[in-house]
Amino acid sequence: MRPRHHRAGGVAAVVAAALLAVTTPGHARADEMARSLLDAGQYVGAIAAARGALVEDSASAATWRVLAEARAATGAIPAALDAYARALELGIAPRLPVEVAMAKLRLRIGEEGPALERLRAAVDVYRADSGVLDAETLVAAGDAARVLGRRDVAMYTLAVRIYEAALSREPRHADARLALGELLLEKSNNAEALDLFREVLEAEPTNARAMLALARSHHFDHSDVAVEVVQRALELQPTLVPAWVLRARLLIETEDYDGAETAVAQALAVDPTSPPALTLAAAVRYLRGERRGFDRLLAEIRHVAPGFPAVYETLAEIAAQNRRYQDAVEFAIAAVAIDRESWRAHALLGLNRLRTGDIAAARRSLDTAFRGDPYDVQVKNTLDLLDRLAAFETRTAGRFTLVADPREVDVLAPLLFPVAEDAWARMSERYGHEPRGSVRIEVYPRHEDFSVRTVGLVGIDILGVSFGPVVALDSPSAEHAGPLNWASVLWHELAHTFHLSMSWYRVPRWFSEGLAVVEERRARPGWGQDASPRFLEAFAAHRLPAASRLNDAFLRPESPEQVGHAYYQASLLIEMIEDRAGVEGLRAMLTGYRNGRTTNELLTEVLGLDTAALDAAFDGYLRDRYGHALAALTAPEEGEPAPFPKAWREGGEALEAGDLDRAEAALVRARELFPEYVGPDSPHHLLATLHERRGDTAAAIAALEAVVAINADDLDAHRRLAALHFAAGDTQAGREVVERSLLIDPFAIDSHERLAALAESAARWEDAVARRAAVVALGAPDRAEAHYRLAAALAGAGQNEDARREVLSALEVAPLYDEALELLLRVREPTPASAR
Amino acid sequence: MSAIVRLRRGLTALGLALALAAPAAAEERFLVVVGGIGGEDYYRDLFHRWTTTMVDLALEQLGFAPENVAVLVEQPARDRRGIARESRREAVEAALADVAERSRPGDLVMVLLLGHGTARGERVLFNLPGPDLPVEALAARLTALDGRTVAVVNAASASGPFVAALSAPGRVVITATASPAEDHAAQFGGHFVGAFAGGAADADKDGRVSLLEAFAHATAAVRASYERERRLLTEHALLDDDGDGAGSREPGVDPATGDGALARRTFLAAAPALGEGASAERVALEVAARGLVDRIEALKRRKREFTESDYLGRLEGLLVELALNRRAAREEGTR
Repeated sequence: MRPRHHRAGGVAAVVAAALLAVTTPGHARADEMARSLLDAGQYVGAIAAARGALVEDSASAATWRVLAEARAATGAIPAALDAYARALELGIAPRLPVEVAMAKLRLRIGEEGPALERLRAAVDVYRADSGVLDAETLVAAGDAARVLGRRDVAMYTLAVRIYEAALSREPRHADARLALGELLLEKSNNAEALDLFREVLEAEPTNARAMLALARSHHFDHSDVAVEVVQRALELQPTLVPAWVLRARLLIETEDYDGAETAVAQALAVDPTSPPALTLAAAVRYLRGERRGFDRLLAEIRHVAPGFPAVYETLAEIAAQNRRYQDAVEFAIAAVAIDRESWRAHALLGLNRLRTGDIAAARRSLDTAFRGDPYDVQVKNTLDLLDRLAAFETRTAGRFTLVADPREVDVLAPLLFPVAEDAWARMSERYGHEPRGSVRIEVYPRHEDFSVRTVGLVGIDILGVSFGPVVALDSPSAEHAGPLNWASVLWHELAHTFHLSMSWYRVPRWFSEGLAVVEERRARPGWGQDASPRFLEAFAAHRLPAASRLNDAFLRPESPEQVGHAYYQASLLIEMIEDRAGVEGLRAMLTGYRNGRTTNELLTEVLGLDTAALDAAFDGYLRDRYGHALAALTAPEEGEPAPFPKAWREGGEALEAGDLDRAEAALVRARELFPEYVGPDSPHHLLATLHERRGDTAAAIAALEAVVAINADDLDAHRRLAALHFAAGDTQAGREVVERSLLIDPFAIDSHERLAALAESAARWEDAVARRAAVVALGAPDRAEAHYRLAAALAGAGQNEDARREVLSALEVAPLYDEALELLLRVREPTPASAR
Repeated sequence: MSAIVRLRRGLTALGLALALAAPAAAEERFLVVVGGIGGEDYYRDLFHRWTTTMVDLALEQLGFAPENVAVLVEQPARDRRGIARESRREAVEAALADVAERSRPGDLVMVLLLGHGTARGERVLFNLPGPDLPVEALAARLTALDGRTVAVVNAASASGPFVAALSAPGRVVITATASPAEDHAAQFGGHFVGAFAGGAADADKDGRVSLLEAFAHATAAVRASYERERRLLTEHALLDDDGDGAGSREPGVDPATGDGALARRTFLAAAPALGEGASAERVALEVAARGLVDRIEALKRRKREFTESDYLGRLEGLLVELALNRRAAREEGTR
């Protein structure tokens, strides 16, 4: 490919200049016009102009090349090859770019042998004497190496070297810079790629290909800006097929299948045989469940581009993005079957096998992928993760297998399994459906590992994920913004396991997330999100999407805050659906998704509401539910404070000043205005402090009970509440609160010790053993005492052999530990016959 | 053999056993506690509290002779005992010179620095009112203490370089931080002092807190405190007692080698003594107990040579013997 000469003003200016050249005597040259039209993406015009020029001068190699490029751009591959061949016969210079372009076209139509031979020869030209090659030739040689890199990864390094050589030959060479950037991006080095794309755009702001590259870079970063940038690329060159393909891909990712089909149609209007466009057309058919159309398109791709390697890889990627992991495995298997040396296909196979829980096979595929392409960051990260995962330990109870860090597994297992069993039993009954097989629950103390487990890369901003039979979670010990109830996260992810199974993995994000939050809320008091002032402010300011557009907030959020709001909003919409149509309505929607129905169809069927009616009904539902809070958060007059913040602030200030009566009056008023608010220093919290100062323990307990009933993430409130219960002598209530606090902080040694002491005093020895075992597992600083107390609990439970082992552990640390020495003698005594 | 002879032999054997435990047999124990300059009220109060708490523990629980305790603080007027002097550099050096003068080889000398520190290039300092105390000055003073068991604890920020500068055979050096770059106010000192109050730090339940146990207790408490506050740990304490100049973050992990061996045997509290008039049987039991503990420690050092069940079997055998010994000693004591 030759360098494009972009002029300021984009397509219009280029075309105008070309037309001017035609119509101005003395300047009109059909071959120049053809080139201008080609550069402007006016392929049909370029073909016509080139033909016209060839009538006048059929020996113009340059014009034959223009004709070839224009034909290639419109998908007329054999005709393009003919034209390229003529250009070569006529002595086109430089030759190598034409030869490489031809080889790439031959690959596309399945003529692999001659194509690869030609590409290798192009690389050899560089190796033989790079010093004499011009920048355009070097870029072509680099492109050849890049294509060969798919099979021989060393070629990628060579391609980088060749592109760099081109840039040292001609530092402002845009194509060299773009090609290098594209290769770096392909290998996940987006930071450097982005710099290169920006450099090109600074020099050539109307370079459509550079704009497209920039959009790809944003897409790599999951940035919404990609949508806008690809649109700019299309404005610069409306016939840029790869830009339409990227646009279609972005639309597929936001589940806008109609829009994606339109974009694909635009691409195919330019190049009816574009393999990537046809692949995305097939992907849309797949996602819509249109099997026949899908098969027809695959057959068409096989026919027009039998050498296009990425069709099943793209389908595997899209299937995985849509949580259809088993399908992704099958697409990846198909990709490997077509090309056993497609390392990306092996990588996709490995990554998706991991998601379906087939760890051993995943490892094999990833090892193969890594051997072939050690530059694939996802593969490298995931193999590193698997190495660390090998050191994890597993515990199994019934259908659940817990895989966790050895330091955490024995603390988490006794807490996690009952929650998982409870979730399973309750949701099986609620949905009338039970997913098949076992469930693997992986818990990661390093958030980076969890992130790699989820997407193969670090940096994901979620806490849990369900792949169906595999659930992965951040450990409570991982770095979080603040305390959170990890058991509710587990419950949420198990809910997804049900939704995915019941809908055959076709449930949309908004429905599954909203329903999972509702399941949390149904599970325990205080679980699931609650109304925040910022959510209500967003609602009042009409910043929340309409119910019918809720999925966009998940797939294309405008801000991180909008994602948080979307979960809560979706849960409220689910509650409205359930209020009106019962759980049967929810079940009907899940099975409807399985059968390929759309959300709009299902809502019309289940609620009898069309889109507009649904939006109106949901708006009314929110106003009914939060009218009081909205009024409390709305200023009565411009410049006046809203009633809730006013009363809350007054109460806080009075409390700080020690005026408890005035503080109480204001805080009670604030609590009445917005009782659902339990954020930091809420009126409930401040009232608890106030009552504590007065010594009114019962009232302080009531205030904190109100907090934890709404927000089960509040560790501090749980701790305060437990202390108050114990101070009031209500051991049972205190114990229950401490037990609940373990679902926020299971690694709090003092909580386990407190529960152990309570269990021991009540001779509940099994419970005592579990708590004392946790203290040992958590690495209590006083190891001797921790082992001794576990031994004593085991002895209490009649497990003398285990007690003996533990007391030896205590005495190994502290041989002169009198109580432990006595216990050793006691557990060695034979059990009286009567006690056997 | 008469009972008296048996008693004398028993006492001799006990003395030998205790002597084998090296520093525990120190004739005299000396303590120099220095509270540095606080710089602001919060730290002024904190360092004063840590310093005076250590003195209280030394005098009231650890059995130090009052004349062997020197205390230097930023504000001596606040000392309720009226024994503190201002912690100016010359006073600190004078206190160390006085200890060097009065102590003898075999004695234990503990120097505890509680405050802030700074490290600027080669200059490594403990901050005092007036001129700071450079590590070289402290090192020079310590040379006069050769032959004593010396323990130096610098609980200040940026104290890490004290390890290399003060390390020597027969010396325990503990610092609150691992490097001069760890220059935020350190929490280590308070937890280290706290280790000697109550029994929480007495990991081996022998009734005394060794310097190794105090170090382990303090580092664990520091780590827990940072985790509780969800802060990145910015102080990593070191202990060196093998004279190699390189401190360990986890000394004593392998009891046979490396740092921790001397600190394990070094106690601020005096060795428990049997009351006057203890019976010969009681003394014999104590000697036997000490022997059993030594055998257990020896077995632990050879743990890798055995299969797990063999090791546990041998350990249990010794422990049962020890348990019966302790039961007998209690019964003997109640007679």
